[in-house]
Amino acid sequence: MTNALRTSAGTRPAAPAHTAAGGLALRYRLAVLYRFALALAGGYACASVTAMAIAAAFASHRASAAAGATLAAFLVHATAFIWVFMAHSAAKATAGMAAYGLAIWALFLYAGA
Amino acid sequence: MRPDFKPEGPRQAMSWLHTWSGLILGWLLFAIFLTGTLSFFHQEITAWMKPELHRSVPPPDPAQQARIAVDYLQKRYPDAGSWTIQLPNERSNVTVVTVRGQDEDPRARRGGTRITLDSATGEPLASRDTRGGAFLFRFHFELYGLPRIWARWIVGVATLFMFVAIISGIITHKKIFADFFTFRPGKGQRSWMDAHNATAVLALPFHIMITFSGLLLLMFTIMPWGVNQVYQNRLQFLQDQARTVAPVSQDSGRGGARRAAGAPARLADLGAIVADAGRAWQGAPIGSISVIAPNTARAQVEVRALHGTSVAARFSYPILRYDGLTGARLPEHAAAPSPPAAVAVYNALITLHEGRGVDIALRWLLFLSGIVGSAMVASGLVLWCVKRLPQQQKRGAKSFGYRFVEAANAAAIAGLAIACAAFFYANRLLPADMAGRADYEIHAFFIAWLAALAYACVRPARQAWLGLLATAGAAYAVLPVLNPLTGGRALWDSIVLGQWAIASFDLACMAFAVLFAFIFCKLRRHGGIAARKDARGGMLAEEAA
Repeated sequence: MTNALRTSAGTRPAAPAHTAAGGLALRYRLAVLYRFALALAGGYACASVTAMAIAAAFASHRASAAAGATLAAFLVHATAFIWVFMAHSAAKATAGMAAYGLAIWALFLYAGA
Repeated sequence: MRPDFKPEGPRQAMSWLHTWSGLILGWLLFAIFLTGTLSFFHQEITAWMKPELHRSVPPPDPAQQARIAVDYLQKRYPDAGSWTIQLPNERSNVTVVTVRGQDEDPRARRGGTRITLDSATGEPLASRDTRGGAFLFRFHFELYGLPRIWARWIVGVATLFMFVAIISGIITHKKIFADFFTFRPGKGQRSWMDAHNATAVLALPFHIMITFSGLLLLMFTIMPWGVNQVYQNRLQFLQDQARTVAPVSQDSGRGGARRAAGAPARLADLGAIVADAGRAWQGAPIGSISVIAPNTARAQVEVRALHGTSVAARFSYPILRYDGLTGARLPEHAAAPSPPAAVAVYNALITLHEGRGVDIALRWLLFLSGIVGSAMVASGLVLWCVKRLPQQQKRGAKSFGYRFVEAANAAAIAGLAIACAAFFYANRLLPADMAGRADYEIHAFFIAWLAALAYACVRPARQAWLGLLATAGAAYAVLPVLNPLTGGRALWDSIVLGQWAIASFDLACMAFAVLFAFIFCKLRRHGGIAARKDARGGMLAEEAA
């Protein structure tokens, strides 16, 4: 991103990502916003379902289940953040998150039943 | 993320994420980190902020301390349902007694009438109205003036960003141990980079622990789903936790229950009981003494150690029980079973975060790690600016965004130090009997912080930093002088008398004054980052190489 800002100072020919005024294009800003929203909201959803699935799966040991589920949930949320920004494209980031979400949701339904 | 959407390597991606997740709530994170770090010593801060209590100099023998407190309680509250006596300790120079009625739970953590006593004379001590260290403690997770739920969500999101910044920062770094031993002073951006790396790596386990446990402490607000899945409400979860670590038995042993309830009887000598507990624990300090049903045939005494048994067991302290009439030690309960792994991890993280029941050496280690962590956040914020300066200069004028970060950095970092100082000054300079003074102390905190922000906005960055650092340095240098002038115990006396809770506040102020003076001199001698032409090149290029 250092490169990005340096670009805006005019060291590189104006890429389509930059407006005439030298600022960052709206498309880029929206892309960043989308990934942050995906990481925060999608990550939170995945983390919550993970917590419910683990707690449901080990419900016979309540204290451990609740503590372990919450520990895991925060790790899942942080990992989701890393994943979303590690992925090369927004589509891949979204697909990966959705795949995990559906899998853990299925596990929750199975464990909770 | 690159504006031209070209693919980048994982370390570049993480470097981007680290920078922006760190910056976006960085000022809030710094405030949480610093006030949270000060909260490791919130008792000491409160002690300093109540100079009326400084005159209490505890006698060295805990048995004598206990006798003095009991003399007071026998005189004033002989018919109480229970007494709890908190002896003076390494963190407090006063005795605090809690008196509860016949119908109140003697083991409750709240409630009852609390009275602060002079540990040497047993006289009750009145003190000025102040929130003390509790204000800083509450601020670090509930902020101020916001609905509690909102504030906890904001702090929770900031904590998550911190956690993400730590993880992405680790991934960014290939040479994490080499970085720890690398410091190239006087090299502009490189030095800031090294300082940021060194502070991050030096206390990395602490940073991970404090951030992750910060999330756990907010779990009932932000992540209740695991608990809700298996419990009706959070109270059951907490009770279950307490049950796994310390089976509370309600039997009163051989001593009490068999004798006629309520019949008046003479209480055993607490001094002898305390001396026995001291021998049993080989001199480990005693925290508190509870006398249940004093002056009756059912009387029972519980002596609780000051420090916890283990960080893996929350709220678990060594306890000895005595017959309240004969003073004989009752058989000990079976040792608590060790908690299952997940609960032990949860407990250890939270106990360390709260510093509950840890001894003074570990407390100082946690505090110093917190200071290093605050320095890490601060140097990261400054680094953001330093790295972008050459490009801003090339541009001719600083952009609004850059200028905003620059001013906010000075106000958030140096300004917060000034705000805390203003809180302490207001504590001593507002009249002690003024109505609503506790609130005015807090107002002083925020007014000083806003003033620092206003100053940082109107002055060029370098002048703003110099002005704010000089103010902070001077403010902390004068606090130890203000202390004896406004009724507190002077530093030389508190050291001689062994009142370390009070002395350490003054000493810490002096250390902070030196720290701010050092940074001030560094910055002034530097002649401004603007003058440096070699401060170019990014972390990306060099890190990725």
